[in-house]
Amino acid sequence: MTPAIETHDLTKRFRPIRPVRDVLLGRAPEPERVAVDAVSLSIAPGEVFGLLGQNGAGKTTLVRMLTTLLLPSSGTAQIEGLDVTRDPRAVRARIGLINGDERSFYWRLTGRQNLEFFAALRRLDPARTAEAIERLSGRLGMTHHLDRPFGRLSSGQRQALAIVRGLLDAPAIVFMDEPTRSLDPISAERLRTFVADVIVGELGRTVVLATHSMVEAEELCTRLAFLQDGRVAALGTVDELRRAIGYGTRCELRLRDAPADVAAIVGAVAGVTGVTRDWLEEPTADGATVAVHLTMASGDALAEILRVLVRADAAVLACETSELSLEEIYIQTLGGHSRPEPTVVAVPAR
Amino acid sequence: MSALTGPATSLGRALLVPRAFFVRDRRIETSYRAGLILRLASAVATVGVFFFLSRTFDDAAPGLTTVGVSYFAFVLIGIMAQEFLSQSIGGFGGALRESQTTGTLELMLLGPSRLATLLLSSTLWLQASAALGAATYLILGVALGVDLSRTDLPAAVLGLFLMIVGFTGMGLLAGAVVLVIKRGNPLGWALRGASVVLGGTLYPVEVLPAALQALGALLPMTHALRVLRGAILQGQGITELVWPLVALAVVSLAYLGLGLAACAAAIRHARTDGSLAQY
Repeated sequence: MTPAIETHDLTKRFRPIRPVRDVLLGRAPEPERVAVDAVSLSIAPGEVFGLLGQNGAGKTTLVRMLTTLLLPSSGTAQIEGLDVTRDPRAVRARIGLINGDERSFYWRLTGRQNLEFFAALRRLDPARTAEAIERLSGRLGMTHHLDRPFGRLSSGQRQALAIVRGLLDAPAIVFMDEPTRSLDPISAERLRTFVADVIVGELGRTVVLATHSMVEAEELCTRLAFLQDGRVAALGTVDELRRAIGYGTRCELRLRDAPADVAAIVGAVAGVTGVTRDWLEEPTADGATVAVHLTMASGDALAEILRVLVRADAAVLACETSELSLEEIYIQTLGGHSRPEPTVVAVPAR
Repeated sequence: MSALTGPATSLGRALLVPRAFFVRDRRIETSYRAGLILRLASAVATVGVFFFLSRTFDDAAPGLTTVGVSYFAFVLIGIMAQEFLSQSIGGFGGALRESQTTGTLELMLLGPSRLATLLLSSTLWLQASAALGAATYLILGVALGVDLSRTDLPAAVLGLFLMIVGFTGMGLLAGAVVLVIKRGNPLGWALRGASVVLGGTLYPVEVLPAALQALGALLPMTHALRVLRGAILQGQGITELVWPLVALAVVSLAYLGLGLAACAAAIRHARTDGSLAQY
């Protein structure tokens, strides 16, 4: 099956503006800035693909190249098998763009007049335009606001119009660039629901979502790419990203009668990437309650951990697991945090 | 009912984009009511000034009066043509820059329409607006005694059409520069200035030195005024004006071709350096 989107070594370099004075003085130009660096992606039809990264990581630049608004410096990008550089008009007929920029409307026109204008530019005939406006606006609760001047609409209403505009001719691939950037939490949640229920659920469109919102990405995306300095730093489902950092699952065990080398025993289990332990009570003749904190690549190692503890005659009083959230995975992957080394704390003599 | 609804015929489809631009610009323009009143007041003042100038200096312009044309009638056609030029150059450059700063340019280019269709469609309202302005000048002129009864309509309409083609090309050229340098409209200013000085708007080009007359021949304004004055004021037909019409067509089409190519290059430049929506 042809991927909905495919890129190979897609790169964008920006040449800095050279002041006239520098040219006259013969000063060497500043080096080019690499905004997107050799990005290779393959996105399947129907996927909701998230692009996450810090400001300046290259998310918007990548979206703008895929939507033909920016020419790549090198590499290739194809939309449904069509090259964005060689066949931009055919690509444009297949894509829609929803951005978080309120300025990209005519503020003296009403919402409906704006939508009619942009629909005509997409060669949508008036009857289909009217039907699409009514249907999509109705789903977003915008019907009663369509005939108000755009400038008098709230940020949420403007963003809803941007979504309607991006979907007027039901494009096969929808690019969303920070669609909830200026929205309050309730409006953002409403828009996320619309994306999940309508764009993905009912229409089954391929969606590329560039966002800073971890909630949005975790809720909507089937796969994600973390961008850093224009490169793909990590790529996969949330589970795959969690596994990739090696300590995505945490577990706290409360044990009684644990052997002295419990930390070493547990630490030897495959998949365990870190162990620490604390005394919870002063040791007595009957032993002491200890808490063992584990980090694992995934929860798969848990069964084996419990087996080795039972074999070591330790009583497992409690076992609680939790997983790193997408935000934690993101920060651990891109934030420059060093990966914790497995730690084994010596057990004091009883 | 919406202004964009109607039968979805193939002609209707072809006109979707031009019509959308026209309706958009008309709606925006008419939402500024004070602007319309000020434009009318400006037209009245301009015509008034040249009417009284003409009464002062008509005797000093025997070259005009011998062909039965007063200076006022002569200059009326000049300022009418200038109205088209101003809208084509200033209006288009301004609109292009505004669409760049508001981010609407990107959204316009995101559709499957051809760039030339988008660019030419975006000038339609400007030309219609200029035509309204020009009609205002003519009505005021007639009210002040200019005789338009001899007008040869086919020649006048053909001349007007070719002039608009040429001015549109100039507007596109100027707009391309605006798109790249993002400040002011220097080429537009130069083209407008050259057209006024060398094109014979306010005086016959024959009073200019030969070198300047040669330069003036490169401008649509020069040929357009020759055609329009001949057709409107002297009743000359297409056969009598064939050479000025040919010259006008050649110069206008050259500007249109240059303008479209320059805009395509400017947009390619903006798509390369990421400045389609820069402000």
